[in-house]
Amino acid sequence: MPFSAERLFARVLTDLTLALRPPVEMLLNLAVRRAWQRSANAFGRLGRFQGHPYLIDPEDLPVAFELTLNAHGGAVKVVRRPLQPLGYVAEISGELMDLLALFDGSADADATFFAGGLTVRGDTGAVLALHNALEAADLRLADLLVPAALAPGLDPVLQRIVDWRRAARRTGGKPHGVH
Amino acid sequence: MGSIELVCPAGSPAMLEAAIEAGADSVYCGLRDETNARNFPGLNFDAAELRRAVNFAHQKGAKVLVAINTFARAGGEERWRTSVMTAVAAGADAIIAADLAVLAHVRELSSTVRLHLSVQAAANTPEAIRFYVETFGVRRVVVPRVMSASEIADLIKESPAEIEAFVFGGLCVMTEGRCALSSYVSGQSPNLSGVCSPPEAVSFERTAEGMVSRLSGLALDKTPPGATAGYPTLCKGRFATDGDATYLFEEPTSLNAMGLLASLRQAGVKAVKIEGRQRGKAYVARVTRAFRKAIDALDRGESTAPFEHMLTDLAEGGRETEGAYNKRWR
Repeated sequence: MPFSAERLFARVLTDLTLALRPPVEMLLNLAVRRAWQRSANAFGRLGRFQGHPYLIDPEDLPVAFELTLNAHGGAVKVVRRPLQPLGYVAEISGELMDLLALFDGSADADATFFAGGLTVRGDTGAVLALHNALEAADLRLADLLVPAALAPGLDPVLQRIVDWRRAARRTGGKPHGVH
Repeated sequence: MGSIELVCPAGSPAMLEAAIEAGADSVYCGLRDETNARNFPGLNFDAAELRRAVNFAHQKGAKVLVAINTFARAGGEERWRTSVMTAVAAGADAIIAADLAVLAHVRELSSTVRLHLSVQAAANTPEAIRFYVETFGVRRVVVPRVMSASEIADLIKESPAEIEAFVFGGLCVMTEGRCALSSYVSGQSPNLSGVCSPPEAVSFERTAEGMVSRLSGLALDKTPPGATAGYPTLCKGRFATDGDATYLFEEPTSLNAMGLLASLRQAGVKAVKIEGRQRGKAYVARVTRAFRKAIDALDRGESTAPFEHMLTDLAEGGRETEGAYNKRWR
């Protein structure tokens, strides 16, 4: 494989991010726990896909996430972006802002996917089940991004930031229509 | 409620709350099995969720309509009986059904629960509607999406039941309840299994030339990079005929009849319906809000025009149509 400064930089960035894995995983696992506590039945909606790992791959981050949910809770791991399929039941990739908006239900999944904002590999039924389980869990942005004590106050602020960023991207850096 | 009842979809409790908060007068939903025509993985309500949903809706002054609108399978009728029992016990304001056996069972179980005839029954004549009204006490009929606006107006003049019409969302180009196209490829159909193009049979492949959408491995469409695609169903597939690849039955577009609200109201349509229980709370909140504004504007004597293009990005293929409502060839 030829030397590439870009590839080396990406590799170093990934390694650095992976070194920070424990606190990030702790935060994300708390978020999953919070969503499960709020709506204990929601993850059961995964049906036969419970316990199967999904790969969530924000293309603008140096790492990806492995998400496994079941009726009793779930777990998130920070992982290196796989170069080839690794047996995930489904892989969902896209820009971080689109993925966040999908997870908290503020974006329409069909519209985002069919407009090319997302790529889905694997079992489409598994992807649909995950989307429906997360919708039912009523996951909020603050659940994902901040400690529980700060979440209620920060959620509207975070929502505005994500809406603004997504609108800015759609309009080529000139956000409008977000109030 | 305005002059037309706004009936919105809910695939989950979160979606039901989003619809009601956005201004829905009624919300329709189904139970988590093949007794309703949106039997997708992870979607719909269990008995406890339905009870809580009905309580929530009633507190907010909204109604819950439960769709038990597939056709009972020989040997599997118990599931349809159970769904009816669950809906009645939850205090649903109406049951939406199509199958004669389901309609009869509802009426045997309760003489008071309101019955709406599902679009799946494909009732499009006064005679058919009269049969359902006289036999089962059906109060409302959801008319097929293949009828034109003038045909609906003619029907209403003689209909002994209220008429509800779809105004937004996925568009069935076949007469509902009689379409078996997807079963030829996937083995399942909306009428019996509650799914048209089941997601486990659907796949998407992105290549340098664009995205290929498949159903059970068969390529149904290919869209170039940057173009908005649609969910692969046989009726909206692109087929080669005489050397040209064209959408033989229907292009992948969504219904948006907001511009026809005034004429539908004038014709006597009692309720308008939004399709899309499978879409999620972001979709239902936006569509409900837009139609709420349009109906309220209409009731103030104002135009719906300012709201008519607010939803284009939610449409299948990014394109909208008034569908059969403006069918001019008849």
